Amino acid sequence: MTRPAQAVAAVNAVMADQYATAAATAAREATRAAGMAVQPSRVQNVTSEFIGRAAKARSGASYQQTLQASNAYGQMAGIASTAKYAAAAANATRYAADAARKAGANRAARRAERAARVAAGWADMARHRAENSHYAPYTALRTARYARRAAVAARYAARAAGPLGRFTTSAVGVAAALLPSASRDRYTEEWKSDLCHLPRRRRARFVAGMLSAAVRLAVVLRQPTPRERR
Amino acid sequence: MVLAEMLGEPTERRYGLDMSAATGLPSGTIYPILARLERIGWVESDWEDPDAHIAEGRPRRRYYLLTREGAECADEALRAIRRARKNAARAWRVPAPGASGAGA
Repeated sequence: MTRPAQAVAAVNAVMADQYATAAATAAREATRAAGMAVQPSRVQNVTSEFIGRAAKARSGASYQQTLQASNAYGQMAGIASTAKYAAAAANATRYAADAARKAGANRAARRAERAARVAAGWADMARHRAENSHYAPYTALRTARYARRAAVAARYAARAAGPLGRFTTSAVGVAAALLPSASRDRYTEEWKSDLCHLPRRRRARFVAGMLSAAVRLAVVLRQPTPRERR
Repeated sequence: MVLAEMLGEPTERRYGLDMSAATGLPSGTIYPILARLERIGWVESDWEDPDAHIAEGRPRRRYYLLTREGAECADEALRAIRRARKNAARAWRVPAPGASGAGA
């Protein structure tokens, strides 16, 4: 690879990584929204009731309104949000795949694109079913699952395009998993930036230090700040 | 060491690896220290300009900067540490044989 081509590949690898992070965030939100659609503590599948009553209202038939609005609207909002976030995850995955292809990781890019297509399809289906199908809550659950798969494919594509090897990237993932969820993305990016800066032979030592730092950081970040203590 | 390094040039923004190289501490020690300092408000951090890292083709860096309060407190803390070390060294100094006022 010539020097300008290498620089273009490096820039695209960074972009792929950023899009993969965005896809992961959207997938997490989709999962949370799907949890809102199917809550164990609530009357399940109020969608069928909701649809049945809407049909009765249209035809003029009489019915008794016993369904709580918070149940129905909570569930509907959950389904609609799942569809929205899954579509966002699919889009971010598509962009990550595009950047990975430009960086030369064709196979991983193809896989990510396929996953993005599936997630986008399920997001469309969830949006459509939210108002006219009895199975909408379960569609939302599956949509969130496919959004997560798309995010994983985007992460693979970014990894294949990036300069860090599989071992190093996995170690960063393990170290980040120990931290509170709010700090994970920040430290992942910080450590990756440091690793990209280091020569290959010094990375193993950095990874060992990073893993020990993660354990200590996990403790520090979970302690209340002086302001919280007050 | 981290505070002394940051106090050397308090207005300069530093990133983790740079601090690690300057102080000689491993990365496993630097990040928890920086996190602690950030949580007590002595240090603030932010991401670097997107143009710079995208142009260089690497993930963005997180830069750390000593706050005004942090600089004052760190200076005081370092002076207290130096004083305590000096006192400790004086207390442990072995008197020369025959010197006046040596021990009880």
